[in-house]
Amino acid sequence: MKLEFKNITKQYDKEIILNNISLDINNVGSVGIIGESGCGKSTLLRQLAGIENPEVGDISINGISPITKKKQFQEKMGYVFQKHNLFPHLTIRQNILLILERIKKVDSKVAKDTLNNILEQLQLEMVSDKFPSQISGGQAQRASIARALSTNPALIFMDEPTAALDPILTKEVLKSIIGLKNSGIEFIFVTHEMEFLKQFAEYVIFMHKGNIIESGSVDILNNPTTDMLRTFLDK
Amino acid sequence: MSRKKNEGRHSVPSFNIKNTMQYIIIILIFTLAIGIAIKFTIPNPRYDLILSNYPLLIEAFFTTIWISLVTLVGTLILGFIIFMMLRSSIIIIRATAEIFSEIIMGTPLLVMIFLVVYPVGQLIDSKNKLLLGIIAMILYNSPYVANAYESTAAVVGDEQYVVMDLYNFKWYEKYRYVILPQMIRPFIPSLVNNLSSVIKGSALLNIISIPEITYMTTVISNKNYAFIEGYYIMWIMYLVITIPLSMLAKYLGKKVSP
Repeated sequence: MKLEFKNITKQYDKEIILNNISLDINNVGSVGIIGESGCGKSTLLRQLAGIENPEVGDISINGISPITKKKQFQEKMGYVFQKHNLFPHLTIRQNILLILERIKKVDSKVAKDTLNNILEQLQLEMVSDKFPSQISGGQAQRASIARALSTNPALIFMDEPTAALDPILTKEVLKSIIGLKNSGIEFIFVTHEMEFLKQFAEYVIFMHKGNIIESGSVDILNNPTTDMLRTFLDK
Repeated sequence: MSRKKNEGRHSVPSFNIKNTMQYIIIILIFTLAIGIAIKFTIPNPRYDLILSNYPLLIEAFFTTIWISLVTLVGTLILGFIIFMMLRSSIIIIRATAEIFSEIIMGTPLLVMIFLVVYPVGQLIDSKNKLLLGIIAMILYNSPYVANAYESTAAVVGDEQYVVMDLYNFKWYEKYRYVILPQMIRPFIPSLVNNLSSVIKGSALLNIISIPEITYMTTVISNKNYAFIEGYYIMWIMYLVITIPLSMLAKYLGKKVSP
């Protein structure tokens, strides 16, 4: 992936959340964003995915801008939220088929084949006819990963996909995500799970109070050059 | 434990024989009180004079029901249009809906019926009082239904809109597949309550001589000089429709709440 952003500034109610940050990286498959709560990492992710637009700055991911070519950009991406955000009135199967058949107008047979493959891949066949409220948080989060995968995205954003889960369910979900490592899909994600980050990320961005303090290959986790990252990792 | 759980909340008594008996006793007391009022508040009551016109009363009863149902359907449609306008991002559309709603909600139904049947009727050259009366009721009730749509649409959280935007749902796809299906269940109790208020409001159609319950009982009681008796019968006829509807709304409300 080629990820480039320049001078991104974002503020909510005059409070600066992203403070004129820039980055230019190439040839990385997965980028992990870390930092303390409130440092702006989820906000950065939302700007990169085109969910929100920064007040100032340019973004380009693999040559496409999520700001100026939002629709084209989002056609090829998936997004996994902190909470599963599945439609509560639809079963897992219906949630995915709605996107494929009704919205993306995929042929019904192709959609069902895609669905079955993904359900199998994420071991969700048993719960596919249940509603999100009838399954565990881990299963629901895996279902939301299934939905993100269903449109065959080239890039998936994940915003602390295990934040709402207990340690056992976290393990279950992270195992599913790690299973996607060699799928050819690129990832940009926010996480608090350091072991997962080490296994899954190729590039790490460390943020503090709206600034990028340190970024680089996953090795920076073993050899941080700034005190801030060192302190963060020691916590 | 359960006591603690309900702390600070309005707790609904659970259904059991003891509670049901208390309800039955209170219902009997009220029925008795109404019965005593009907029997003893008028010297020499002559209900038979009115009740002997039962074919007309039954016809009026069903006239009230069908007018109310037609009004309800019209209200649901116009209310939905106002609801959509209120959600529009185009200010002029939203402002039109907001100001229209304010004007209508500030207008008494009686005035609304007069305005639609006489000045508006003259303007559009229509003397069909029934149709104009129904239109007046639809206009009057639609902002309230639009509000009910708005509060039930709140069941769809912001995060669901983010998901729909991510997948590029068109506006009608949002309503067709996500918003409306989730609104139906919580909307049902307010729908039934609305029908109840439409029925009560339809009583005012008597001023334009629509042969519904109020008009018919008033005509019969005037003819027989049994005014109070007429009002009592009118009252009971409305209660026969509205109390079951209210109970239905409560039942559905409990059934659809999570």
